[in-house]
Amino acid sequence: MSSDVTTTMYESGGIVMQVELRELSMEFQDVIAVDRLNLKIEQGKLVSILGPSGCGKSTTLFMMAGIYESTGGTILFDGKSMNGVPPESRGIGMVFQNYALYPHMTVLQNIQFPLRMRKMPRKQAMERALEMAKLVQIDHLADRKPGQLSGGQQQRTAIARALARKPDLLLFDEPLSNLDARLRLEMREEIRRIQQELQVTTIFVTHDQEEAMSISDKVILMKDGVVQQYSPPQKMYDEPENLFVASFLGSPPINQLQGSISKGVVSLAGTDQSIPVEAEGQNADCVVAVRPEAFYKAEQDEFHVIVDVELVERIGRDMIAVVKLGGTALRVFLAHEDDVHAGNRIRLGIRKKGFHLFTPAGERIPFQASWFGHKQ
Amino acid sequence: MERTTWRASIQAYLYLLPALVIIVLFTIYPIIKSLLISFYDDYDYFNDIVYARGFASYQYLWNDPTFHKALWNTFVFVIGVVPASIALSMFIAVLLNSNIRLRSFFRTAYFIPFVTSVVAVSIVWRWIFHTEYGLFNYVLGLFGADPVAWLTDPKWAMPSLIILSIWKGLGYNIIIFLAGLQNINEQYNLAARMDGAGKAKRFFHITLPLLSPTTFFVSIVSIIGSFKVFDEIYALFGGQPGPASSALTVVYYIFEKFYSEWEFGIASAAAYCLFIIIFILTLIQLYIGKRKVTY
Amino acid sequence: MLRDALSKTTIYVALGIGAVLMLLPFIWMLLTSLKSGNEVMIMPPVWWPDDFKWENYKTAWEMAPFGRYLLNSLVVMVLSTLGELLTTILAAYAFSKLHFWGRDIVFALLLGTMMVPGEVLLIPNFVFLSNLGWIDRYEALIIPWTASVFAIFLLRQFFLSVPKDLGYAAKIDGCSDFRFLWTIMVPLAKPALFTIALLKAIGSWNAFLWPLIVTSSKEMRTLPVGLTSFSTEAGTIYELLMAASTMIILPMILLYFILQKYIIQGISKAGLKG
Repeated sequence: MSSDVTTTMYESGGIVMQVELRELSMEFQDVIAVDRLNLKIEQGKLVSILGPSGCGKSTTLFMMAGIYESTGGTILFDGKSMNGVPPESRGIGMVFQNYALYPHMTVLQNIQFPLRMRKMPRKQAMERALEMAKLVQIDHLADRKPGQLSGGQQQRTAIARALARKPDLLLFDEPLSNLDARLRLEMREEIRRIQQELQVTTIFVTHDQEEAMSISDKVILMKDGVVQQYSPPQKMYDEPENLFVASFLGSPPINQLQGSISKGVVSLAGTDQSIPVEAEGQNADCVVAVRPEAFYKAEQDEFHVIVDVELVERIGRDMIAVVKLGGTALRVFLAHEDDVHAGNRIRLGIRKKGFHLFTPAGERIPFQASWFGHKQ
Repeated sequence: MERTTWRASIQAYLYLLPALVIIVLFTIYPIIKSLLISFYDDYDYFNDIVYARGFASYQYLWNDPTFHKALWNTFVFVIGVVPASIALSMFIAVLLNSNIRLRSFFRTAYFIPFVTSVVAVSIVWRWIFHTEYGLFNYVLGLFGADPVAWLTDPKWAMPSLIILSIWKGLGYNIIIFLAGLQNINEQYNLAARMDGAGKAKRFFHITLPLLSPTTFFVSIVSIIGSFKVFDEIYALFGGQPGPASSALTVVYYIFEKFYSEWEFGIASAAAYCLFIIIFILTLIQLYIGKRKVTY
Repeated sequence: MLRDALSKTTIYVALGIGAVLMLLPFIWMLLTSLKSGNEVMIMPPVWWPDDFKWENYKTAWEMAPFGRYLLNSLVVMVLSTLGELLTTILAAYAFSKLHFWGRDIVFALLLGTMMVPGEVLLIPNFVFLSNLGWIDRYEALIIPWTASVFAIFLLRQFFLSVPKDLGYAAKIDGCSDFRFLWTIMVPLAKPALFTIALLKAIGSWNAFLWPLIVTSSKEMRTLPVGLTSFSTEAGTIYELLMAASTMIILPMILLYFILQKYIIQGISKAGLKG
């Protein structure tokens, strides 16, 4: 542990929680918002729930908090079922999207509020609140009202309030979405710092993939109430389990080409070009998905596809080219020094990492890349 | 979502209990009871015993020239007050809404009558309307007019009442119109100005149509309020409905039947007539409002 | 520029004349209340009294039990305002933040009662209160007025504008519904509550028909009722009538001057909502 604050803070509470969801479901009227979720969140980890809006990520979080009551399944905290346990008895702290600070109370009063609700003596509550304010570096603003604070300072106050009761589990509901880009970066690092200092199990809901990728130990990617993949962020990027995961992560998004698998190659639809790949299936349709950065300008003697350059954008250190392969437009990262112009016909090699095959329904197809390239 | 449970419902009704008890006892029950009483032909209110039920009260009203007069007077009063009050208050609100100094002073001046006791200001106006020594006749006299017996001549009683009521209610309407005007985005006016519309054109083609939801609201409130006029009459004419009942309105009629004559059935029937008139007017206004006033 | 200045002048003149006409009755009331009997009954009228007859106020005050009227008016105003605030806070909270069966039906029913003119309620309420033995008592003057659908509606609108997350946060912080209402919602709603209380206080102070009907003895009259009976007694002694009227009108004008921001805001908001 890196500071005194933390040692004093967690020596008494000390329990970091393991969270388990079993068949957790939520139905609103006739919409299934969360569909039989099963997963385990290890203690002391920061886990993000990522997904497009309406995927059920906030609903899942609100169920963990006890604000929503699930319509099916169980949430277990350290093996104990939380069904019917009210939010205040779950040992959680939560930070809301719009911070939900009490506007008529000062920063210090806000942080003390959960302590006072537990009848902690005034003096002790005050000390604890100050300690928390120090931890999130807003102790110099202790007597301000939320209206007099910047977005980032409000965010810090909300975090301090959530931490004040020494929760075993910390929940964040899209906490950075109301901040501007620069502050978002700063608060992201701040949350990570605090989480690592305290080693408190943390669940972080966001729709921003970059946020989730940068902050988390593991990411839960959801769509339509169903978990698509649950893994460390880099693994999710490198080894997507389905086409949705592959296409949701990455910016610019992964390139998709229609193709069909036949003896040792995938032929690309609308072209006479193909990629040497060993995969099961005969004349089976498939989707070829290639990350923009998996392309590179190839030499004559290695495997390549031939494309027509339509547009070249240079943005700082990057060069993005839009190229046409068959009828399909692809976005491709090229090296800065590559001499490529619109109208050129060029050869593109493909790195094996960043190349994926899926069925048209989006399921992963196992394969063996069998092409030769200089840059693997 | 938080689910509705028995526990939560019981808890919520505990919160509602105080308000509901009061409202049920003193509003909802009386609404029903009043309807019932209007069908009591013979009623001992003291022991709450009904000897006969029927339509006698409504028959009585149908044939009672005094009630007809009260209805007629009420309509005259509404017609006399509402259009004039709306036109005046809209005009003043538009002036107040222009960029002028002393705005809050003017607003206060127009609004003050509204917060003061109707009874007290009516007594003040009684003095102003005094035939011999009243301010009103004095000012008219400066223009060469003969003194008018404002409060004692049946011909002039209603106009006096109308003048007093317009004066009293103007401020409220102005405040509502001001709020409505401030809700209109200044850009419309600027755009129209660019398009070369003059002040009058801008008022009739931009402000007036955009203000129509407010005008609609003000007219409903004014009409309903005017239908219920009572305090002014009682105080202005010293506990009489004007000379020769010339300012007898529906509510005054209800009051007399109820409080002086103890005819509870007839008074309740008259009250329900008033309710139905107001109800129909509200429906008509809502209907017109829905069709014409939507932005 | 000249045209602009001209139209500005026209506006000022129009507004000025209007303002004078609006205020003249009050000025005339004040001036008359300070005149002697001879200066009152004279034509053409005397504008400025030779000598301010402050004793008119004392005479009027002593001719009728205005002290008692004032006390009654104050008691009724304060208690009915407090009562209404209490019932309104609880009910508006239930309608805005709690989930319960029949919520929408009950709320619609309450809103529906706003269509019914108060005159319809007069007779059954009178019968009911006389059966309770409350006629000519404070109970009759106060209790029927301690709840208002309009106030519940106004405050509910305000409560609805408070973000849901605030309630969730409080719940996680270990704050019960009831405690949340009083420690978070009520302090937040101060301006709205203030407006509701003010409109109520003004309405109560000026109320006439109801106190007229449910009081029979002098001891229970409120100021407006007392004033009308005084006006029959004092008949044509206008300087005393004007002094008495001033005593009723002045407190509300003062209240308006101190709190006009809230009154105007409240009325504008209520109007736009309607």
